[in-house]
Amino acid sequence: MLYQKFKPTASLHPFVECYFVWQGEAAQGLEVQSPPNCFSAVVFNYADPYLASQNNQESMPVPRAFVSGQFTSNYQLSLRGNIGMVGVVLKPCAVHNFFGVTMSHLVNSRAPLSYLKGVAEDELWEAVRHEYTVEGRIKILEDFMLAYLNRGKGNVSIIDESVEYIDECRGCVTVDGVAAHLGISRRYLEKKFLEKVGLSPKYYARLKRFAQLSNKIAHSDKIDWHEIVHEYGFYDQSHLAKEFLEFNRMNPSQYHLLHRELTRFVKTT
Amino acid sequence: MNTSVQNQEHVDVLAKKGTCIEFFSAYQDMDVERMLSLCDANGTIAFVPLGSDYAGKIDSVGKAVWSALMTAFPNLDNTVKSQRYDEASDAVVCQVVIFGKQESEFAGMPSKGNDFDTEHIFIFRFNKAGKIADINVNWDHQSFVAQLTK
Repeated sequence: MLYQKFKPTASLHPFVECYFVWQGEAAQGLEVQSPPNCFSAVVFNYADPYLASQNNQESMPVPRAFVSGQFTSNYQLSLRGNIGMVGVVLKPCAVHNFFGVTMSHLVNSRAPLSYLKGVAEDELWEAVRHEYTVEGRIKILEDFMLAYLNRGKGNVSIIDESVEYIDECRGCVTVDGVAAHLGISRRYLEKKFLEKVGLSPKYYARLKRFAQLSNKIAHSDKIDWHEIVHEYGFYDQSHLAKEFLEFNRMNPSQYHLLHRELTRFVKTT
Repeated sequence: MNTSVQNQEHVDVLAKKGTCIEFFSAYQDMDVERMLSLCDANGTIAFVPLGSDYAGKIDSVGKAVWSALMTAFPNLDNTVKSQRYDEASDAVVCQVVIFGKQESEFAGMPSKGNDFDTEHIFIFRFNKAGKIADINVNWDHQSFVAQLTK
């Protein structure tokens, strides 16, 4: 099994978090849980079809090439056979900035790539499918992103700054605090944030705190829960556990055990 | 069915799910007027566990219940755990945890300063213009009361 991340070229840094490739075999079937991570994505599947579900709801087939927005809670992928996918992990405002999409429409959804106006889904998917090197596939994705870069740059606004500020604060900030920092009204922030990110700033901040915390838990050998409660502004351990269960359907200790092993297989280039 | 019709249907479903997210975002922002702006002026609502007294028009029954909740629970918040489009009923079904700390009387229950945290099922139906035409809300009311009165 190969799961590898690639950094984007410098000009795409404000919009693209990374590219990834995931290849392998799951002859016996593989279930993968993923917590919400505050990013959106464009993903191409060039191997066997797979299913996705959210919070134990009915599984749905995943389109061969899709764009997704924010997820408000944990989702599960059910894979069987050959796994082969490549994708772009995008910063929260990037899909709106590049393609003009109202992001609330993409929350908890994987829409076929043709949902993005003017994007030639068939052509791109065929190109990815017929390219046999990882580097070649990443180049197709990078060229695709670069083609929209100027439009993306032109749509950057104060809401992008508000996302950066919430990220810098690791989600531990109030909506009033964000509005005051940027010198804008709370109502303006809430309205425009929903359009560009797909969630309210309050929900995004909660998710960011959870995502940062999940990442820390997954990459730590030993966890000091008291320190985490204090560092991330929870009232107590039960508040931390409740937030974790709601977003991720497992408690923090279970997540730590599960992901400490998985993260060893992730390579970054 | 041709591809453009299928794509249009998919776009409609995404828009309906998006309206639900906008509704819960407005709920989180404590903005009842924005919640109402997403609904048909003649839209209907039923808070199922509360019976027929709490079923009627969104802009009267819904507005009254949400306003009372926001007054009694000033930190009212929600987590959208899942959203699913049900093709047979042309409805969006949302599993949502609503939570908050009671600071003043609500529905005859004086405040004991307790927190509540209750999973709700919201079923949204839409009119042709994409506005919310009907909301059915269900939850475990016994558990809700028990959390506030313990």
